[in-house]
Amino acid sequence: MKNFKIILLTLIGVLVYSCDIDEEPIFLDSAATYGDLEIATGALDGIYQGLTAYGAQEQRIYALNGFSGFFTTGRGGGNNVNNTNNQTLFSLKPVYDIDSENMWIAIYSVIGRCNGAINNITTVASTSDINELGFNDISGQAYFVRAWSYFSLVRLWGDIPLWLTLPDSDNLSKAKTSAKEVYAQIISDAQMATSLMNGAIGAGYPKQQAANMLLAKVYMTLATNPDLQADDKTESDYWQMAYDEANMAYGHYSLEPDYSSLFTDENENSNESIFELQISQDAANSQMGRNYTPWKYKSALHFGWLRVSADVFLDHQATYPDDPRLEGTYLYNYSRADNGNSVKVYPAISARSQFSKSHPYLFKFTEKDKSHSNLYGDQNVIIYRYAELLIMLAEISNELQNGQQLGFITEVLDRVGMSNAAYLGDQATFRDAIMTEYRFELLGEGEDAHNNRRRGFDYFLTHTINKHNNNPIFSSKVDLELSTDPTQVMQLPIPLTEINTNDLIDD
Amino acid sequence: MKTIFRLIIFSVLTPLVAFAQSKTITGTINDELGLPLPGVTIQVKDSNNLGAVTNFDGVFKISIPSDSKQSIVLSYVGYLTEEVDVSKNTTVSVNLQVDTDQLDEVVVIGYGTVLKKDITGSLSSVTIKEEVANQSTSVDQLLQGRAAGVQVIQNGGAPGSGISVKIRGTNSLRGNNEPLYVIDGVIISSAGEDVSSAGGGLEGQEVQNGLNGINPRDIESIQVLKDASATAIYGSRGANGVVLITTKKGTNGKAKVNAFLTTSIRTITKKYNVLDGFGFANYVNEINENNGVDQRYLIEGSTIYTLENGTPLSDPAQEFNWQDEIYTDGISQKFGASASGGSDQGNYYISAGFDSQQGIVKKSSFKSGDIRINLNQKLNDNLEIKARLSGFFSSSDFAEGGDLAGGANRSLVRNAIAFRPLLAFNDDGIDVSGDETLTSPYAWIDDFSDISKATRYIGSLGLTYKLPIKGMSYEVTYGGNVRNKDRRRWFGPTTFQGRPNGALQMSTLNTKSHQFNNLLKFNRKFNRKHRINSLVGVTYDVRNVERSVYAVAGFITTQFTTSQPAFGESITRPLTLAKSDQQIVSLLGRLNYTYDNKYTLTATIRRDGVSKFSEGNKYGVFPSFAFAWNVGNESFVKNSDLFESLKLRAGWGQIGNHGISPYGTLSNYGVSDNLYGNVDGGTNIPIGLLNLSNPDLTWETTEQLNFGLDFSTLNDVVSGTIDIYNKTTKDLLQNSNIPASSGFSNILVNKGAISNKGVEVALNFVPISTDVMELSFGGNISFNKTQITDLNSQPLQGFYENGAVTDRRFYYGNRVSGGNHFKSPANVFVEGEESSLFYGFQTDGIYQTEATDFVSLLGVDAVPGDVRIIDQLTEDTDGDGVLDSGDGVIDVKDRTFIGNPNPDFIYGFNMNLRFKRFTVSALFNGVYGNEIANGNLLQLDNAEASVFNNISPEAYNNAWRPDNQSNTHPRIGYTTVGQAAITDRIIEDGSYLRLNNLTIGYDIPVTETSLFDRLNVYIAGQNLFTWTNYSGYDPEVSTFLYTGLINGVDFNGAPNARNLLLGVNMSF
Repeated sequence: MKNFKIILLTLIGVLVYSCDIDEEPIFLDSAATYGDLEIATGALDGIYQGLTAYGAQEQRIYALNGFSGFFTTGRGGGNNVNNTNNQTLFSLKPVYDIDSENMWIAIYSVIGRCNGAINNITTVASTSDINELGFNDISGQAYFVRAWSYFSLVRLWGDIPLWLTLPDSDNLSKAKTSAKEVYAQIISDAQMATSLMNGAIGAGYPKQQAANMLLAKVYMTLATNPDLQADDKTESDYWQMAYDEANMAYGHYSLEPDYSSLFTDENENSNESIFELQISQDAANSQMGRNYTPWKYKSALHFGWLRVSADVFLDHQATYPDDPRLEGTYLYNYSRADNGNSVKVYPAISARSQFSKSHPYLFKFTEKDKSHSNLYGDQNVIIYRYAELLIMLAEISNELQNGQQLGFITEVLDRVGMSNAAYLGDQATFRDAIMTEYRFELLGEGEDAHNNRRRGFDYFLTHTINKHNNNPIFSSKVDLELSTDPTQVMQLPIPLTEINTNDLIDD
Repeated sequence: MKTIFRLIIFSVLTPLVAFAQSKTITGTINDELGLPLPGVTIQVKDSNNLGAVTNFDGVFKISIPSDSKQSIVLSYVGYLTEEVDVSKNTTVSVNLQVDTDQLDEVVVIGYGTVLKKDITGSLSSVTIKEEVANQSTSVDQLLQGRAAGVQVIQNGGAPGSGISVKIRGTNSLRGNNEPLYVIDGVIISSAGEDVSSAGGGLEGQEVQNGLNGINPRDIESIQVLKDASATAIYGSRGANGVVLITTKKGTNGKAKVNAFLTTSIRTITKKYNVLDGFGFANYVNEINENNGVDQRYLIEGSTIYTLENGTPLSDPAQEFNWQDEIYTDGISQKFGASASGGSDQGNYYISAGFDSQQGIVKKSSFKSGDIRINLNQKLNDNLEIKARLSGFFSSSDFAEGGDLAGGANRSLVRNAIAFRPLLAFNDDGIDVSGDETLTSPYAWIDDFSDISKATRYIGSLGLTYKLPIKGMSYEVTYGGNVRNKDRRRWFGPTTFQGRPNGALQMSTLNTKSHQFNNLLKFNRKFNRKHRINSLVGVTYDVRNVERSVYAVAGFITTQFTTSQPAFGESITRPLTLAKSDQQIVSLLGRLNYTYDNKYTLTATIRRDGVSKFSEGNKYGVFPSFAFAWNVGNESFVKNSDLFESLKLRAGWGQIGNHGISPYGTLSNYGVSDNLYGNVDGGTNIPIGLLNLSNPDLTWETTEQLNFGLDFSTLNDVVSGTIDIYNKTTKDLLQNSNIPASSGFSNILVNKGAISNKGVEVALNFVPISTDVMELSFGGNISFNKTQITDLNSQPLQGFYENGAVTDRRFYYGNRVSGGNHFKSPANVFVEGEESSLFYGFQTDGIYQTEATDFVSLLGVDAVPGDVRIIDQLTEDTDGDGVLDSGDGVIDVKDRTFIGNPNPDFIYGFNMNLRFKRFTVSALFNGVYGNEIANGNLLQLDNAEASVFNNISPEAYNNAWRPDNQSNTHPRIGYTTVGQAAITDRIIEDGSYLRLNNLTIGYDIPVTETSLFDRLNVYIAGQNLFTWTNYSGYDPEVSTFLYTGLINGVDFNGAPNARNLLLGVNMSF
């Protein structure tokens, strides 16, 4: 009996000691994620989902437009010219604001996801089956989005950390890389994208022409910034390279006949769309309609955060009085959804005595369905579209004086029935006209802050800042006075959260 | 001293001394069981130099002078001293009785018990008084102020809210420094455990108390194990200290029935002072005037009208004091009963109770019911079985939702302070006074629910088998804890989060933990001089946790609130399960050896294997040693009559900690929080790398050295304990913030070392102790200094202090809020400094018009009326090596230390008086020397010129104005948004002293009735008074309890409550 007990005890002890202490998680590892085309496609959706994250979409649009010099806001301390946002970012006097900080965080998060895909997917030079095509396309799209992301960041912040791999415990901080090197990487990534993207993943995802367009934009940016150019390249080289890339996308898309239809739920993924984010109310991945629908335009809660400075509207109206793009871009006279009363702001009412009524709203991201009552919307967000490519081609051609410039811009103006009279002068006149055409065609869509600065501080000062500050209807009671300080207006400060967590960045 | 030693030696070596003209007495001394007792000292009464000791057979022989008073005194450690009259006889036979009062008191320690006199480690026993236990809803309330070195943070305003218990300072920088709770041998590690938040990034779902379900009423005793030698037996589980809870058992005799009933009323202790309607109307009008906007309010005598397009509405505006509207008195009731009894063969304790509490926010409530059955039974002479089972069921409506954006409408607490005090209704009954994006505080009462339903079962079954070897037994115990919780937060359409059609967040928690302990114990005395108390064992500890989150919005009908998610159209968070399982297998051993009741040695070792780490790091060995010298049992002390007891202790040990979530070594590719759309109008499943792995993670190790002194003197009138410790934790496991540019926000790492050095003193005075009256005072005070001793893994970087830059190793805490206010971190962690110091800008009043030294913030120049932020001297203009000038710019280089959230000391003291049938007891607790960063002041104390947000009267009335230049408050329109750091304007002294509990009781005479054995009534007040200079709701800051990287910050912290209570205890 005694022995039996001792054996029993020993047995229990041994049993317990051999207990399992291994982990069995319920998530995937990198091999599983990138080893199967279907799961890897999910990881690609993860990249685009990152671009629809609140910081990368809503706050990106807010920060970019706020820093363009074209907008005012009623957000951040009251509907007046002195609210915090108006006095800082929107007056081109950026401080440590949460919108641009969250944009930084969200876009770098997307870069992290791209790095995961790029580092883990094996691509092949010559594809032999649908699987290889698929992986090549996913990898190519990851390169494209990484290039797009760094291009978005470097234009706002200049020298920035450049991450091309996933971090690990020995590699957590990176110092700033010079903007010039960042641009070189963007070019390399975009070139990889053009070679790998093949459309295999299907509809709703960007194709290789999106990468061509991106490359063209990059080259255009370098063309007018000698500090960023490679040693062996000249301005005209860059214009030519930009032309070559843009031209590769030319003809692959077409303009939608109805300009306004681009900003509706009904005309998503249209022939004009080159890079578009897929929004679904069921996915709850967009609050654009909540943030940017004008006051009382619909019944449910919304904020109407973006107002276009009155002079921007006036300029547009003066240039093209009958432009249907006016209706698609601005809103200033509508009836309230709750009681049907009319709401009028400038220019529907001409007296600019109160800030809240002195600027039209931006209509593009407005939830058009007045009965829509969900916090989340369905309207896709277009990042690149064909009209912009045509304007780019017109601008490039004007710089190259290759004789095609008028043709490209006429394509854009024909859609809205506008005359190309403003373009009939000399090269400089054409240039100024085309730089304003970007804003008339693309106002608020995310490129204004970049386009306005692309030709350097002096051009920005003359054609945006002073133009606004000295406009005939300027009133300090209702209009923002934009900063003219070159150290202030060209770049955003590196976000506090980066300074505070990055061991290699002090300011 | 030498004389005493000589006497001792003399006495020991010459047990029999003969004297002339003497009488010889012989005798035998036995113990209480009749066994011979060697070593008993025999002395002739009133003679210091005549003595003998018993030999191995308990026999003695002594000669006494015939003229001497013929009494001898028999004394032996652990036994009652006895005096025997030998004037009429020459032989003596005595059975000495054990001194049960002190010496053989048995104390529960890890996996066993030990004689109190054999304790070598540092532990605090918490006395549980019935009336206090009956007042308490959670075990943390029993600990606060009652044990040296134990700091408890809780908030009484919201029943069931989160708590934090810290033993001997901050042990890690990870946040969850909660000790291990062991209830009748079952490990409960859930103090900070709650469901996950199903909301988005800014949703600050308040943590609820993870200790609910451990019923204070059923607790017999609590031991707090503090030093390494006491906790080492728990190995990697015990690094933050261990709270051992033993529940009650029945005693021999007839059944005893106890019942109790309490009723209480809870009221808010303090409110923020904000502008009333008139003040607010004036403020808004002044804002609008400054901004060139039309006036908003028309004040006519005592009436305020809201102006719409310049025309006053027909009905005057209605004025509200929102804190009065929201906070109310909450009534609570509690009742329960227990029955216990037993015989030589076994005993039982059965209890049940019901508790219904209301919080100070209208509608908030916490209801719970509990049952417990404790059984002990001898199955035969060698086998005993112990069974414990408790069940707990709760349902609560928390009503305290909030988030970290800091906006006026997103948190109940902030909303009640900042919401505009004027509402104006137009002819349609619609409030037209404000921005529709703002939510009235009523929305939190009428349209918000935070419903939690929880169950908890704790049970164990133990068998003890006495093995044939004397003193040896085998114990096998299987026990577990099952905790299920379902929490649903409904944001109705009038709340900010719920607009426009309601939003529902659902979270569940399922925790199952079980332990299998096999212990072989050996507990025996040898030859009276040697006492061994030892064990070896194997334990297997499994903890399976599954959490789920799901969120849905866009409800087509809102009538079902939390009960039917299917009516929601948009899934804002797909149903996601997160598992975090862990297994720990351990070998453990402890030897406690005592020699001659004077010297005790304890050696403990535990080897833990844990599933959380990679191969190679899975196993850790943690040893400890401790020694105690019972000086009081040395004759030189005994003879001196100075001390009744005196013990010196010294201990050293190493303890591991693996207190991180599982799977930290693995890369986690999972589903993103949101779905992605597709061209068909449907949704796709997006996959992303959700956390970075760190395969190198390993144990965090705490090494601790402890010296202690226990004493009792002046006939036990004064007793106390003093402990000095030095504790260092290295390889700190932390969820370290990493640069956003990496694509991720944090990673688990082993980084740095932290030390805690401290002194704890606990004293008790019992000046009066008679049958009629007993008066006692007790107090404890603990000084602890936390220092970051090593941050080697951080590179040396330029660190600014008062403008001067030096290369140091440091990192910052978490940013506090996701909004624009308080988006900078408050704390910095610097090698060589105290932990988590406040870091930011110093200020010096307000810029006046005539100032010439305006600085700029990122190019935006300060103007008169702005807060004057000190531009630290960062430049050496004349090249003499001394910084003599600022750079005119306020940026991150102007940051410096501006405060310290670590207290100098924490303390508690109590008074207990029993006079005839009356009892009075009072407990105070306090904290001294800490500072608080009061984030509420950012918006409350600056007139930011937001026309919808209320502010303090001081901020408005004393605001700087060109014609009335203030030096205390900035101009109207000044904001801290965009600044690189917080300023010292929000740093406040957080010291406080609190009358934690006052109870006055009376035993109603029941001798005339056969109904009761005892009938006791009492009134009590909890949290009655707080003496503090802190301007916020409560200096016991309970926001960010488990964050680790945010310390001492009050941001939307909830108000506290005082609780007045009437109770009856009955025994039958």
